[in-house]
This record gives sequence, C-alpha cells and structure tokens, in this order.
Amino acid sequence: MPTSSLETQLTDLQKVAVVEISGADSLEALEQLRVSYLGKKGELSQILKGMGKLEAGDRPRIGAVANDVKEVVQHALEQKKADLQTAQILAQLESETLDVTMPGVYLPQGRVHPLNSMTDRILDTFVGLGYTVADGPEMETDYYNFEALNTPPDHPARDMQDTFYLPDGNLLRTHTSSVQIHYMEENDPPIRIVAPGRCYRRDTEDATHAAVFHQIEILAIDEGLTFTDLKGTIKIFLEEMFGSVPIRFRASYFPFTEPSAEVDVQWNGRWLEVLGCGMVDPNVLKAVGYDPEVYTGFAAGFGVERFAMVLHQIDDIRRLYTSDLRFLRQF
Amino acid sequence: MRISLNWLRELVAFNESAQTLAEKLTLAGFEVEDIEDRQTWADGVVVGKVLDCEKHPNADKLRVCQVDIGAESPSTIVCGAPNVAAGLFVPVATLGTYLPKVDLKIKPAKLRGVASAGMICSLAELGLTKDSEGIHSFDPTHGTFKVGDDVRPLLGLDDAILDLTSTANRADALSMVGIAREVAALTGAPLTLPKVPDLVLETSSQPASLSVTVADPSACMAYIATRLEGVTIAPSPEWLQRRLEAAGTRPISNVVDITNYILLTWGQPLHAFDADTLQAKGTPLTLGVRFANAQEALTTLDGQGRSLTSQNLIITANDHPVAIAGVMGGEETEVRATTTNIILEAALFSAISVRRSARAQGLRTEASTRYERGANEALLDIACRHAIALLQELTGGKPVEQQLVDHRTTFARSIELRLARVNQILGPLEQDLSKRPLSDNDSGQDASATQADDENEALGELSAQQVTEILESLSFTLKSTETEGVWQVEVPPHRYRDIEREIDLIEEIARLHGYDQFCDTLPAKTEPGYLPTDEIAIRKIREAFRANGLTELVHYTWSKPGTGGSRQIAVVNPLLIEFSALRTEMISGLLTAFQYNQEQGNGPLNGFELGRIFWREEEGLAEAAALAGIMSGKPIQGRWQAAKAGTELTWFEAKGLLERAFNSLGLTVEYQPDRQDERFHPGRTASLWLQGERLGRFGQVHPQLRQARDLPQDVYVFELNLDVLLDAIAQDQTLCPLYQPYSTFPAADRDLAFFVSTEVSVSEIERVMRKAAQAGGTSLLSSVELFDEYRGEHVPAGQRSLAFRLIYRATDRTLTDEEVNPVHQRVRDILEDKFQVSLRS
Repeated sequence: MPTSSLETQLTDLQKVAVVEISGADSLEALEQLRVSYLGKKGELSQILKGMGKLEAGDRPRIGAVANDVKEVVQHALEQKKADLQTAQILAQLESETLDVTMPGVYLPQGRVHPLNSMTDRILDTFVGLGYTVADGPEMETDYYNFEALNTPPDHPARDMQDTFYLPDGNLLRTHTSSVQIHYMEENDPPIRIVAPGRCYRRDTEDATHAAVFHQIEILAIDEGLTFTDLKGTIKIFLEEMFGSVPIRFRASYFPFTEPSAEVDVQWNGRWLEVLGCGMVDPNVLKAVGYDPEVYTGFAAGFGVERFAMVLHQIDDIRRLYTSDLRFLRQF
Repeated sequence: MRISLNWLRELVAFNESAQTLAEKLTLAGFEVEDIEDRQTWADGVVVGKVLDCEKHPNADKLRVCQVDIGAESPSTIVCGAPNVAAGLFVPVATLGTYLPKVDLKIKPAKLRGVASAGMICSLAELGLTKDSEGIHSFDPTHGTFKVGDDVRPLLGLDDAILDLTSTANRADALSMVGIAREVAALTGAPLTLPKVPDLVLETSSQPASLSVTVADPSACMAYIATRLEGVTIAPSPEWLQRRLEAAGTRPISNVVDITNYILLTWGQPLHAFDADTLQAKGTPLTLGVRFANAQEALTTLDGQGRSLTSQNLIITANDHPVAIAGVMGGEETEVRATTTNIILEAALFSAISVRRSARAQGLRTEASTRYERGANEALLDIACRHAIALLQELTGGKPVEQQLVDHRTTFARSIELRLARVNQILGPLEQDLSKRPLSDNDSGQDASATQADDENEALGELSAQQVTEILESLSFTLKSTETEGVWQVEVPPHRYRDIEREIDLIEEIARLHGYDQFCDTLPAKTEPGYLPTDEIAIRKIREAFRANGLTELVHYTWSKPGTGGSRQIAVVNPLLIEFSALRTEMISGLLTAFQYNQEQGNGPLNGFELGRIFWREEEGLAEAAALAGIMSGKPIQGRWQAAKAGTELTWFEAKGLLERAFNSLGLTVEYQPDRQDERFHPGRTASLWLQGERLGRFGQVHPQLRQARDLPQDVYVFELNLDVLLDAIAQDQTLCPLYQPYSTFPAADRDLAFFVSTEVSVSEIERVMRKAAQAGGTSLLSSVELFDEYRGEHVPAGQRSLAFRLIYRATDRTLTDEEVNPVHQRVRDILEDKFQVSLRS
C-alpha cells in the first residue's frame, strides 16, 4: 500500500470528523462520533491496521500523522463537549427561570398579645433593677386583699375599689397588692418583688374601664429604704417605658402606703396619671410581723392596660379582650 | 367638690391665680380636674332696662323692645321670651359678644323684618342653669347696679370654679372651710372663718314640747334639735343661690338652701323637718334615733318608697320613721311652701352606721358622703348656730326651743414626732442649686466636689425649723420634749380622723414641703434580679405555641351563667349578668372568639390563652392556671402553592402542631383515646399524659357543636393543666439539658409490615415492640417509626395494614446480622403472639 494513500485517508478522516463533530447537536451524538472515530473498532483504528503493510521507514512519519489526526479529533470532541454542556446548562437555566415576585409559602408565627408584651417588658425592667416575680391567687380572702393592707371593714377606702364577692365570703382580688402580704409572710427582708396579675373591679365597662384588668405591683422592703428611693425607682421605670418625659409626683392616699403619691407623666401635652405608689404603711409591716422601726419599704401599682393603651395608642380597652385578628395581627 | 374662688377668697386671702392655686392643690393631694373660668361666659353682657316692649308686627311670639344699655340711644332688640316686659332690668348681650355656653356670637340681625341689635339673655344662655323659662331679670331692690354695668359680678360670673377631689382619708376637706385651711397652709395667706353669733332662744307661742332620745350613742354621738317658729318659705337671695349654683347644688328654697350652704361651708350635714307634720305624729314630740326594724318603711325625699333594714339608722317622730339618719329625709315631713315651723337637726352619726345604712339602700348623698368619712365633732355646734343665724336672717324664723343629746367625749390627741424618723422615711432633699456660691465654681474639680458634699450635709435633710413651720401652718401645735429632735404634736380637732400616728405627720410634712423637693435616689443595697423558673417556662411555652402559628389571646374570666353546671362559681353581687359567673374552662371563650372572627371575615383564628379557671369542689372554691388553644384551617401564606396541598387542617396535622410545641419544649406526651367531654368528637379526642400525670385533652370539636356554632369542620381545641406542664418544664434537665453521648456506629434497619385489628392502637404496638427488644435493661432498638397505614381493599375486615421501620443501633460497635436477627425475631414473635398480627414481610 502506498504511503500517500494511507496519509490521504488519515487527512480525509480528520476533515470529515471535524465537520461532523462540529455539527453534533447533543452529547449523545457526540459520544457516538467519538466511538465511531476513536473507538477500538473506530475508523482511525481501521485505517491504522494498514500500517503493517507500510515500509519500515515510512512508519514513523505516518505514525506521527496518525497521532496528529487523533489529537485534532480528540480536541474537537472535547471542545464540542464543553460547548454542548454549556448550552445544556443555559437551556436548563432558561427553563427553570421563575417569577421571583410570586409570594413565598410559610406558616406565619403567632403574635404576642400587647398585654403580654407590655407585662414582659415591665417585668424585665424590674428584674434589671434587682426584682423577682411573685404571684398569688385571684380568689382572695378579705384579709389579704384588705385587712392586712390596713383597710379594715367599713373603711371608706373600700369604696375606692368596688369589690366582687364570692359565695364563700371571699372575693375576687381588686389589686395585686394582696401578693405583697403572701410574699412577706413567706419571706424575710430584703424583698424586691414585682407581682403581675389579673384583678377585678365592680366597674361599668366603657372604653377605658373593664371589670377585669391586669395590674402590676412592685414591693421593696429593706433597712434604710426612703421615699427618695421610691421616687428614683419610679422615675427610672417610667423613663424606660415612656422615654424622657416630665414626671410629677402628687400627694395622694392609699390605705396601705404613707406617704402616698400618684404619678403623672406629661404625654401629648397633658398630664396623664399612670401609677400610684407610696411608702409601705407601718401597719402593713406589722401585719406580717416586720418591725417598722427596723424595716421600711415602698410599693407601687399600675394597670397594664393603661400602659398598653397609651404606648400603642389603642382607643378602646375592650379591643384587648375581643381577639379580633385585625387587631391582634398588628402586634 | 366644686370650689368657687370668690367664696374661697372670703375665707382665705390668697393672691394666686386660679391656675397656680390649682397646681398647688393638685400636688398637695387635692387633684383639680378642671378649672371652670366663668369670666368668659358673659363677657360683653351688660345690665339693660327695657324701656318699651311692643308686639312684633309680623310674629305673634316675638316682642320688639327698646332697651337702655347705657349707650347714647336705646337699642332695639327683638325678644322671644314670654316674660319680657317694660321696666325690667335684664342682662343684654351686646353686639359682638360671644356666649360660649350656647356657642353664639351676637351680630346685628333682622328677625321677621325688624332689626335687632343684641340679645336679652336667660340664665341658661349664660351657662348658669340647664334650661330656663324665660329671660332673667335683676331685682333693683336687691343690690346696686345701673344700666350698662357688667352683669358678671351680679351673677357670680366674675368667678372661677375649681373641680377638686379630696382623698378618702380627709374627712375635713369636703367643705369650703376645710379647703380654705389647706390653701392657707399652702400659700401662707391668712384664714378668716365665718363669725357666728351665739344662740339666743326667743319665747315660744307654745309650751316646751320637744324631747330627743338616742338608743345607741355609738351610732349617734350627738343630736341637737332646734325648733324655729314663724318661718316664711321663699326663694333664697341672689347671693345664696349663686353660691349654691357655683357649688353645683340646685337652689330650692331658703330653708333647704341654708342647710345646704352650711353643709358646703362647714362640711356638717343638717336636716330641716316641717315641725307640724312631725307633731302630727303626736304631741308632745319625741324625736328618736334608733336602728330600723325589718318591717318598717319610709318614702324618702326622692319619692322612693324604701323598705328599711336593721342596717338603717333612722330618725323617728314618736317612734314613726321620718328620716334615714345622715342619708336622706322623709317625704312626708319635708319642708314645703306652706311650712311655717321647722325642726332643725344637727347631729353626729357614726361613719360606720351611715356607711352601712347608705349601702343597704344603695343610696349616696352629699350628707352620707360626709358622715361616711367622719363628721367633725368640734364643728357641730358652730355649724348649727350658723344655720340658725341664717334662718333668722333670711326666713324670719325664731328659735324657740333646743334639745341636745350629747355623748361626745372631749379628748386631745398628742403624737410623738422624731425628726430623725422624718428623715429616715423621706430621705434627702434636692439641693437648691441657686443657693450655691457661684464664685467658687471654677476652683478645681476636687474642691467643688467637696463643696457639693458639704452642701449635701447642710441642705440634705429637713430641719427642725422646717418641720415646725409646716406643721404649724396646718394648725398643729408642737411642744419640744427633753430629747432633742423629738416633739409632742397636738392634733387640731378637724384632723382627728386622719392624723393618728407619727407616719401621718410625716406624710403631712412631705406633702406640704412638696414631693418634688425630694431627691431621686436608688436603694443603696441591691441584689441581682431574676425571673423565677415558672416565669421562664411560661415564656418558653408562649414561644413554642407562637412558633406554631398560634397567636396569644386574652379573654375575660367570665362565662355565661348556667354553663358550668354545679361547678360554676357566680359572684354574689354582679353588676351585669354577663359579668357574673367565673369560667370553669377556657375552650368556650376560644370558640366564641373563633366564631366572631369567622363572622368578621377574618379567617380561622389560631390562638391560645394562658389564664386561670375556677370551680367549686367539695372542699370549697378552687382555681388553677390553664393553657388552652384553638387550631383550624391551614393559615399558610402563599396560598397559590399551599392550596395544592389542601386548605383544611387534618386531625394529624393539628396533633402535629401540638406535638411540635411539646417537642420544642423537650416534653414527651402520651395520648390516650378519650370520650369524656361532650364538646369533643368522641372518636377524635385524646387525653394527654405527661410523666404519668394528666396534662389535658386535645381533639376535634364535636360535629353537633360545630353545626350549632356554624364552624368549619376542621376546628381542633386543647386545654392543658398549666401546673403539670410547668412542673415538667421547670426541671433543671429541661431548662438546661445535659449532653448525652450519641452512637457514631452505623445502624441496621428492618421493616415490618402486618395486618392487625383496628382495635389495637399504634402506641400499644410500639410499646410492645420496645419492650420485646429489651434484654437485661438495655435495648438495641433505638427507634420505631410508623411509615405506612392502609385500610381497604386486600385488607381483612376489621383490620388495617401497618408498616414500621425499626432501627437497631449500638453505641460501641457496628451491629452484625447475628446480633440483630434474634432481637428482631423476638419482636415479630411477640406481635404475633400478643396481637395476632399477620406478618406480611
């Protein structure tokens, strides 16, 4: 066999192969081409079978040609493979493209009730000031709700808090001040507690009054506590809640504190009453067996509803209890 | 209480403006809620004289008046009042006047063709009465005025009224004199109390015929009955009517007005009886004070027929009830237009008896309010004499007889006051920065710090002199004792009710010195604050349920009366029926809220509430903390996708929400079929158990209840005992979990499928499998998972096909088949043996 014919076959194969490879339209077609040209039984192998019939002197030269052809075809195959793979990814990207503005799918978390979040915030503030949380029953005896709090029967101050009575002679607590007595009976000074809870007053319901409401009471008992400590504590607390607003202490009267004060903050240009407080009355300390000559203390009480309504600008107290989702979803 | 500043000024000569005085009073404990500035009500209204008054040419009910208002020529004013007449002196709102109480600006106007330049006013138009019959006219025989004068001084409109509240302890402050004393102390202005003449009895036309008996001196400490003859009932003079109106009391007649005036002035309630109707009960007349019998009744001044009780202290005339003592008089014996003789009652009834009596009748009056706080014993006589003097002057009545029952015990109260205790309670005073010597300010930091400390020493506490001045301004008398800084303080009689102890004096000192004069400090000693574990656990629970899409709810503690059966507790004195019974459970409230949201088109309410429930049990009334919730629908956002999976919440999805919450709280809860509660679907309800304790109940709402309330099908509710939940969570292990080593060796899994009776629950099967796999206290079986349930075709009747994946694992080695196979075989054998399962693999 003449060398020229073998050489021609090789260069022809290269020409045809390169054209066919560039025309391949899928990775599968390309693989078939690879097998048909470079496979064990492929065309290149077929042609190279003729090598044996060549002159020994021609073999190296033709061998080199064959290697070149193989390299060219292989390179064409790889090139084409990369191109096809890129095209395939592009096609995939094209087909997988979404409208990213469509809504995501999720189960919304539940909301915190504004009374609960307000209570949390207040408790956390007092925890920061060294207090802990205490609680007591909602059905209470006259002793814990009134008598131990220096409010004996027929005391005019009982009218300040119209009371619901229970069939067993007990009552629904009118304030969480009753927790003071329970806690002091079970603990020795120093005492720093904050007592949140539900209270009841025989009040006609309107936009700012409900027969059920939530009160938070604080109590501090120690040696050497003064009225100025009460003022400072209340100011820090109110500034935490309302920001730096003018605050005033007005003289007032509660049977279980003396001296007593009501506290106003200036809010939207008006004085707004937010809290009642005072130095724990010596009779209250005596009722739980503390010596008022040794221990002094202060207490304060305020309504969670009031704080929530002012800070969230809620117009009607009843919204807090109606569970309307249009309301609850806002918090 | 409404305080006229003109009246107040007669008692105490203060110079402060209404605003300043209101602020001082407010800070001192007398909260001024409103200042009614009456100056503006009739600014531009003058006295006019109607010169001529003719019928309007075009209107029957109108008159055309020529009114002299002190101008060069009379004004023509059209007036619609029927009582306008020539010769009257009338209030005329001149052109340009604005009358704020009726929101009217007076402009030149034509009324039916006649020009009118001004308006003749009624008292209603000037804000003095609610409505009036016609225009007001001034009596030229009383008072001096001339046309063109400002009407305001004549009508008491040159005044401002403070609407003031005194605290419940201040018995003395429900009177002008009481407030005047306070103002004197606050402003330093001198106090001038009314001068009251001594009583001189005149000779009666009748023989002495009056006696008084008091059955219980502890309920009535003193009773003074004075008979006055020859009284002429008439309207009170203008000054008295104006005073009462300013105080918010309606003038009635001279006698009644005088008793009210004395009440307002001194705080001492009085009552005037028509003497002749009393004597109709028999002569000689005996007035008695005793408690009523249950059979007795009385029609009171307000026209109400009242059944009396033994709580009611009453006044009797020859043993017939004629008044509820200290609360309200009887209609039969009231002073009327024809009255000529009266008996004036001035008495001291005890606070407790009046309080109980008023409560028993559900009645509160000006008199009872004052008695309830405690009338002033020392003022009784002066108030009585003052009333008699006014009755003599204004009604022509002559006091002819007076009977007195007096059980008052004179006592003086003296309290020890220690200056050290004052400062121990109150703490340091604000330093007065203005008193610092300015020249030393820039003399180096250390120096100024020392100086501040020195001033603290000097100015930091109330001095003996300040304490003395404050208490003396309030009429206390201080006597020094042998110990320095200790006084004996004499309490004035009008403060006996509220000043009993040293602390009461300390409050007076703080109040008068001014709360704002004290420093703001924080307690010197403190300890770290903390949330108790229960509070931490509650917050975790709330987080877990919120994370599951449940919103926090807060409902009233009330429930519909009659819904809780015999367990329900009702309050004994409800105000409204809907707020009368306490809830025994919280699910009803949740269903109501759910229904409300459905009706509002808000979609399904998924929420939970933490609160208390209340019930009656044998030992008495009980309360407990509970957690309840409601779940429905799939409130998934992105409905265009979610809808493909169905929008109804399945039973197992609802249970899954609960389980996810328990899981995140680190709790393992067991479920048992439960059909105890008729509000629940009997086949779709589970009781919940935690560490062997009953935790609560979860299930689907019963179809009947669902239909009755028009609820969707997929509504699920749960109620849990919060204490059981908290006990489980508030364990150290749960709040602070300890690390447990885990196996790093591969597991061997085996699937197990079988037919089994539908009577057998999955939890039973799982329990048996776990038990079977146990050997010597350890188990190679690390988990059992149900992965398929099938009922229907190819499954024998009454059975279901279940498929489980069992995972075997050891902590220290890779398990071989030789190890796993015998254990697994034991599980298979026991299932066949115990539940007669037909194994399919």
